[in-house]
Amino acid sequence: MRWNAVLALLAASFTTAGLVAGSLAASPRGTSPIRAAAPPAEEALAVASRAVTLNGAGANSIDPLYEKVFYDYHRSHPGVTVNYQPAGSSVGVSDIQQRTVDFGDSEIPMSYKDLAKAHGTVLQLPVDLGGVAVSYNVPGAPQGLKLNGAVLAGIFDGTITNWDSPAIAKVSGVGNLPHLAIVPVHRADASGPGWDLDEYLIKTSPAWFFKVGTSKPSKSWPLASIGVGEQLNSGVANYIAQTPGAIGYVEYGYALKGGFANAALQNAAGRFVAPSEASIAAAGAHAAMLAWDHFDIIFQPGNGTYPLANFSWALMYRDQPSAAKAAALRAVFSYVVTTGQSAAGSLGYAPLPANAVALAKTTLSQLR
Amino acid sequence: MRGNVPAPLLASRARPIPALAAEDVPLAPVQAPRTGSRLLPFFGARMAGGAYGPAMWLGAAVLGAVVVAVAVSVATGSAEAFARYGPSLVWSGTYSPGSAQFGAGVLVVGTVVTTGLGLLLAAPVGLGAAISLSELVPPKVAAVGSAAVELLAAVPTIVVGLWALLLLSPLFARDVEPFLGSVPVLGAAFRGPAYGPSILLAGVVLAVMTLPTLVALSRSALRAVPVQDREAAMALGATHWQVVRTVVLPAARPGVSAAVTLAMGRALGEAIAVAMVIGNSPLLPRSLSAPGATLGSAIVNQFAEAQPGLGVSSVIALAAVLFVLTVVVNVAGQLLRRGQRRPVPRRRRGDAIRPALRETGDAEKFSSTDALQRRMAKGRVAQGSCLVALVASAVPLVALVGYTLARAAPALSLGLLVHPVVPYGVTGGGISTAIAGSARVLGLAVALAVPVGLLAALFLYEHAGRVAGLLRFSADVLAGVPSIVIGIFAFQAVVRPMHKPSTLAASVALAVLMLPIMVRANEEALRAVPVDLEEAGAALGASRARVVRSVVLPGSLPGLVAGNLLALARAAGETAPLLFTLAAPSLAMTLLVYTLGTQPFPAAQQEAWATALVLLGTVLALSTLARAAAWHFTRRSR
Repeated sequence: MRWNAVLALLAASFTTAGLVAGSLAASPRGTSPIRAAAPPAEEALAVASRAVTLNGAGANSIDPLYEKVFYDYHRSHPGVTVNYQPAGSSVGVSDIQQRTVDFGDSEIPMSYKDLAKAHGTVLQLPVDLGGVAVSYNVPGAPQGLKLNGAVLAGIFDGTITNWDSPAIAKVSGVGNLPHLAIVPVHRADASGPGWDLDEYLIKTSPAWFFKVGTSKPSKSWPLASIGVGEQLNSGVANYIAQTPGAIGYVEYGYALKGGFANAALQNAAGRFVAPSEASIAAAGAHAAMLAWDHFDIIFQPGNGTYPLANFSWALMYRDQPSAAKAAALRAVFSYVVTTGQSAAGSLGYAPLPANAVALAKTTLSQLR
Repeated sequence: MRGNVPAPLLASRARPIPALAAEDVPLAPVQAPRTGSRLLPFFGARMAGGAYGPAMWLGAAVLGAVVVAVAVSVATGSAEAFARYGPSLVWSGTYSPGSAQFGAGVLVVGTVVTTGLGLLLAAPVGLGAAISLSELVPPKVAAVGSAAVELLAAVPTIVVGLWALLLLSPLFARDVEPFLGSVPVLGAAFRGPAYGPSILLAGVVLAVMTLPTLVALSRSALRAVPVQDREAAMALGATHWQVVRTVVLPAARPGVSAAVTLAMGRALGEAIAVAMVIGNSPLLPRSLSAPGATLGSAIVNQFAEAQPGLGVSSVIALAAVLFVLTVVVNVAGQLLRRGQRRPVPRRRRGDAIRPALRETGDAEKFSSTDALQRRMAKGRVAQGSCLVALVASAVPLVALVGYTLARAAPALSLGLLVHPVVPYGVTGGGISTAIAGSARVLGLAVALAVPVGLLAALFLYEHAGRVAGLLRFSADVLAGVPSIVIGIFAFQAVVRPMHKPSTLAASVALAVLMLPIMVRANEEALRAVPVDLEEAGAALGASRARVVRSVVLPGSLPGLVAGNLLALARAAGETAPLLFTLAAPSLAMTLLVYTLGTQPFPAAQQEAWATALVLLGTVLALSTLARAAAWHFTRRSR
C-alpha cells in the first residue's frame, strides 16, 4: 500500500512535469492563423516561413473598425493574422498588465497607476476617434431628442421615471411623448463610454456630482443599482433595440448600425448637437495637445461640437519578444492609423486628425 | 433507452443497466467488493513485462493531479482576496468592483434564488413527465419520448440563452411580468418595473436547461424499482396509480432526489446563459421581476477585466465560493444515486409494499365499490396531471428547437458553412472559421482526455479499496466543478504562463471538463462485460493484461465509444471555458453565437441563429451516435 502511494505520487509528478513541458513545447504554435479568406496556395507557402499572428483584446467600441481594418490588412498581407477579442476596455488594460496579449485597446489610456502594474514600458497610441451616443427606444419620439446634463442625470439616477415627465418636455420641446416608463440601461462591465457619460454628467449636473460624490469619472457605472446593466456595447444596444422605454449609452458606431434614435446633447456652447461624423470630428479638432496623459475631449467648446467624444488607445509593450513581432505590430498599426481610417466614416467614427496620426506614428517608431 | 424491452424484464436484470442518460451521468454501479481475480497486485507476477499496470496508474495519477491542480489553482488564486477581506467575503453584502468591494453575499443569494426558482418550475414538471414515461404511456411512446428527452439534454446552454434573450426577454417585459405583477396575491413577488432581463427569466432559463436532465434521471430511477414490488401491490388490489404512489415513488425517492440534486448542481454553476438574461444588477433582489446577479454571471462579467492582483483574486474568490457550493451539491447527488443502486437487502422483502397493504388492506373500505371508484377517480386525476406535465415538459424544448430552426433557415446555405467569418459591412461571409476553430479545440481536447479517461477507468475497474474510492470521489468532485471555474483554471494554468490565448488553453479546459464524465462512463461500460467471460479468459491462462485487451476492451467498446461521445457532445456545447482562453470570438461556434447573438443587428442575429443551428446539429448528431453505440452495446450484452 505504501509503495503504491509512493508510486502514485511519482507518476503524478512526472505527468505534471510532462504536461508542463508539453504545453511549453506546444506554445510557439499554439494557435494557427485562421481568420480571413485563405490566401492563394503559392502565396501562402511563400509567407508561411514568416507568418505572424498578433493577439489583441480590449475595447469593443473600436471592434467594428478593427475587424474591418484587420480583415483588409490580412487580405493584402496574408502572412499577418490579427485576432481581436472585443471584451471591453478594462480587459485591454488587464490583459496587457498580465501579458496575455500582443496589444490591448482601451478607450481611456492607462493611468500612471495602471502602468506601474505592467511588466515594462507600455506604448499608448490613438487609433480611432469615436463618440458615445445616448440612444433611446420611445415609440413616437423624434430623432435627436434634445437632452441636457440635468435631465440625463435625472433619468440615470432614477428621479425622472417616465417619458412624459415635464422635465423632459421642457428641455426637449417635445410635449407629446408617450406615458411610458423609462428604463435606463448602463454597462455592467467597466467601460469607456460609461467614463465619458459620467464625466459629462459630473460637469453638467450638480445633482449628479453630489450623488456620485466625486469629480473623478469612473469606468464602472457609479449608480449600478438603477435600471438594467448589460454587458458591452452590444448588450446595451440589444436591450435598447428590444425594449420600448429604454435609454442607454453606446458607441456611436453601434447606434448607427442599429438605426437608433440618438439624443442631441447640450454642448459647452449651449447648443444641442447629435452625434455624427462631423460633430465628432469637431470634438477631435480640440485635441491640439493630445497625449496619453492628456486625452480628454469631453464637453469641448464650439457650436458644432458633440460633447461625448473620445479617442481609443492601442496599448503595447515597447520591448517586443522578437523583431518580427515588433515589425508586424508597427506595420499593422501604421496601417490602422493611415489607410485604415478610410473605413471610419461609414462605421460611425471620424478619421483621426493629423496631429493624432503623427502622435501614433512617433509612438510606433519606439517599438523594438 | 430500452423501450422495446418490457419493464419486468428490465427491472429484474441482476446487473444494473448502464444508464447512459444523455447528461453526464453514467455512474458506476457499485458492486460488492471484488475479490481474487480482479484484485491485481501492482507489478504483479502475472503482469510480467506488460505496461498495463503502470499505464493504469499513470491515468489514475493524471486524473488525481488534474483535480488537485484545479482545486489548488482556485485556492491560491483566491488566497489574496481572502487574506485581505477575511472569510466575511463569502457573506458580506456589497458587490461593487468599481469601488473595490467584492462581497459575495448578494451573489450567493442571487445564485440560490435563481436556482431555487428554476427547480421549483422544473422539478414538478420533470417528475410528472418521468412518471408518465416510466409508468403510464405505452412502451412505444415511452421509447420515443425518452430518446427525445435524452437528446435534448445535450442542447447547449448558449442556445437556451440565445432563445431566452431574443425571444423571451421582450415577451417577459411586455406581457409576462406585467401580468404576473397584476395577479392578486402572487403579484407581490413580481412588483416593480418589468425590464425583461430578470431573476424570473434566469429561473426560466435554468428550468428549461435542467428539465431534460431531471426527466431522464428520474425516469431511470423509477424504472429501477423491482417489478416484483409492483406486482405484489397489484396483487393486493391496488390501482395503477396506487402502485405508483405507494410502491414506486417511495422506492425511487433517493434516485429522484439525486436527479434533483444533480440538476441543482448544473443550475448553480451555469454562467453564460444566466448572464445573458439576468440584467446584471448585483443587489439583493427586491422582486422576482427585478434584475439580479449570480456568482456565475458576475464571474463572466468581471473576470476578464479585473485588475491584476486583488481584483483578479477577488473574482477567483467568487469562483471558489461557487466551486464549494456546486461540489457539495454534486457530490451529495452522486452519493444519493449510488445509494439508490446499492443492492443491499437491508429491509425485509415485503416492506416495500407495506404502504400499499395498508391502503388496500382495510377490508371494509376495500370491498366497497364506491371506495374503489373513488380510488380510481383519484388515480385518473393524478395520472392526468402527469400526462399534462409530460406535454408541458415538451413545450419549451420543442419551442426552442423549432424557433432556432425557423430563425436559422433563411440564413442557412452552403456558403455559410464554407466561407470564413468577415467583418460587418463585408458581404459573402460565413462561419467556417468558427467551425474549424471548434473542431480544432475539440480534437485536441479529445486527444488529451480520451487516453487519460480510459486508463483511469481501467484503474477503477481493477482496483477496489481506498485509493480507488478516493479517485472515484475525485472524479465526482471534478464533475461538479462549473465550467466557468474550469475556464478560469485554464486561464491561470495555460494562458498566463504562455502569455497568449490559444487553442491549447481552450482544449485543456474542455479536456478537464470531459474527463470525469468519460471516467464514469468508461468504468460503467467496463463493468458491463460479463465476469464469466473474463474468468474464461483467465482460465485459459491469459495474463490479466491479455484478458483486458482481448476480452474486456472489445466487449465494452461500444459502451466506451458511447460514453466518450456523450462527453464530447457536452464539451462541444460549452461556452464558458472558451471565454477567457481563445483569441477571438470567431474561433469557436459557441463563442460566435454568444458574441453575435448579443448584437442588435438583424444580420448578426441571423448569423447567430444559423451558427446555433449548426452547433445544435453537431451536438445532437454526437449524442445520437452515442445512443446508437449504447444501443448496439446493450443488444450485444443481452
